[in-house]
Amino acid sequence: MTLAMALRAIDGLVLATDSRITGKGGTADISEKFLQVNRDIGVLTYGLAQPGYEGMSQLVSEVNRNQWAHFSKIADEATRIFQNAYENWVERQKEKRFYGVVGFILAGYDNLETNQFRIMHYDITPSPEQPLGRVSMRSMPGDLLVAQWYIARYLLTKFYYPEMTVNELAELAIFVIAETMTVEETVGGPIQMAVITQAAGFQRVHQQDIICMLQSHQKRFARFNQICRNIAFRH
Amino acid sequence: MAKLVMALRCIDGVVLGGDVPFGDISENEDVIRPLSQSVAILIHDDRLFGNWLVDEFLASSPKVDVPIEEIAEQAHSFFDSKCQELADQHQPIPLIGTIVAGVDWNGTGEIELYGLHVGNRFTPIIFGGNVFGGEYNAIARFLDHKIHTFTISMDNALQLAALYFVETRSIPALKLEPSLNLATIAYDRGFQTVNRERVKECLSQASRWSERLFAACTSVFSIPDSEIEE
Repeated sequence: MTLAMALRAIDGLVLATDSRITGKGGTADISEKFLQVNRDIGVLTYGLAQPGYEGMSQLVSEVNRNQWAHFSKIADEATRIFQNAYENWVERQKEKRFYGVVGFILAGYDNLETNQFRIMHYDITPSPEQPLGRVSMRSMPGDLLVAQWYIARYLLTKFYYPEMTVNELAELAIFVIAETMTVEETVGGPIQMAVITQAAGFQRVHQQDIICMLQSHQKRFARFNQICRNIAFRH
Repeated sequence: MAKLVMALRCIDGVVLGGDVPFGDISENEDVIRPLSQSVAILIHDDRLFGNWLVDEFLASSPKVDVPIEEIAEQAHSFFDSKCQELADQHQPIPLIGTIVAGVDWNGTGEIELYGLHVGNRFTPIIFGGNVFGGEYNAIARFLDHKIHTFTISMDNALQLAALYFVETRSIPALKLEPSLNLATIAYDRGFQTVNRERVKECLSQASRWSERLFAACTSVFSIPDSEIEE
């Protein structure tokens, strides 16, 4: 599992995820769950790491090769590409059994058709009827949090306000992921983040900047802990 | 479905809680089932199937005047064999988990908590801290990590259980059952169900704390870093 999110700010999108992979052999914090598709669009994955990464990288290479520019075209083609990537991966597995869920978030600015920030969710869930799953694609009008999302959603209801800018929301996303890591063993490792704005397009947030944000949050972590401790048992 | 059940340790025993439908439910639909005066079993996820399993287990006359570890082992063997019967008949096995909780008067004399889940064929896992079960237990675990201490009183643990329930229910997508059942196992009184009036009081108190928590949280991101006191 993982925690992946696409959040809407007043001036853009914030995409963030952790980097932990969990398997039979334990955990490792090395997973690349994030790629830039073109100037304005990024893609994230969650669930099974290998088919997830293959799906993302195939999408990026097909977008580049075919010079697809429209968000809707990329979003539609992504359905086929993600499905193929998953089926090819299952085909290569020695053990024939049901494999877990793999999902993707495609998010970015649609500057050719709608002039809006858009978030798409793709989910492949195998079942006895469809052992290779079937990609379901949904357009998300609001924020999207997937996999281990419960704590993140809870904290966002406490701290989010609609006027937040991309920079403020990036800070909140870091806070929320770090807090989730305190109790969810399958969420961990370096935080990966990007912001998408109309002016600058997709911009990956450097690891050094994320560390700075985490350091600047130290008082906030302490303050939140103090609030939680003090709120109970006072009549 | 029971999506949030919990066993919270406190200085004078353990508090048990779980989400249930509104209104009066019969004993064999509950999420908290006493096995003896000092041991109970909590059911999460498929509540009805879990109750059927517990009914069958009780009908098999298990030994309950033994250390809790042995009760957990008996439950493990029994539940696993019942699910195996379903599998042999090619019937789907429902998602089900249980928590065996109690004061181990026949062993250590302390609170012992075991988790048994269908995912690992009900192999008992002992927990040193509090135990949470059900699909939507993450927020309760998160808050517990911040608030709970082992020295809290039973009254306070009851209120904490209510707070975890109220806070989880505050997220509309997490569809818990609308009501909460609570019970306690105290060192001096054994198992007792908490009456509806007391549960109501705990929920009202929890709602007040929840409002206060929401109001206090607004300061965390609206006050600049430099103005937050150390």
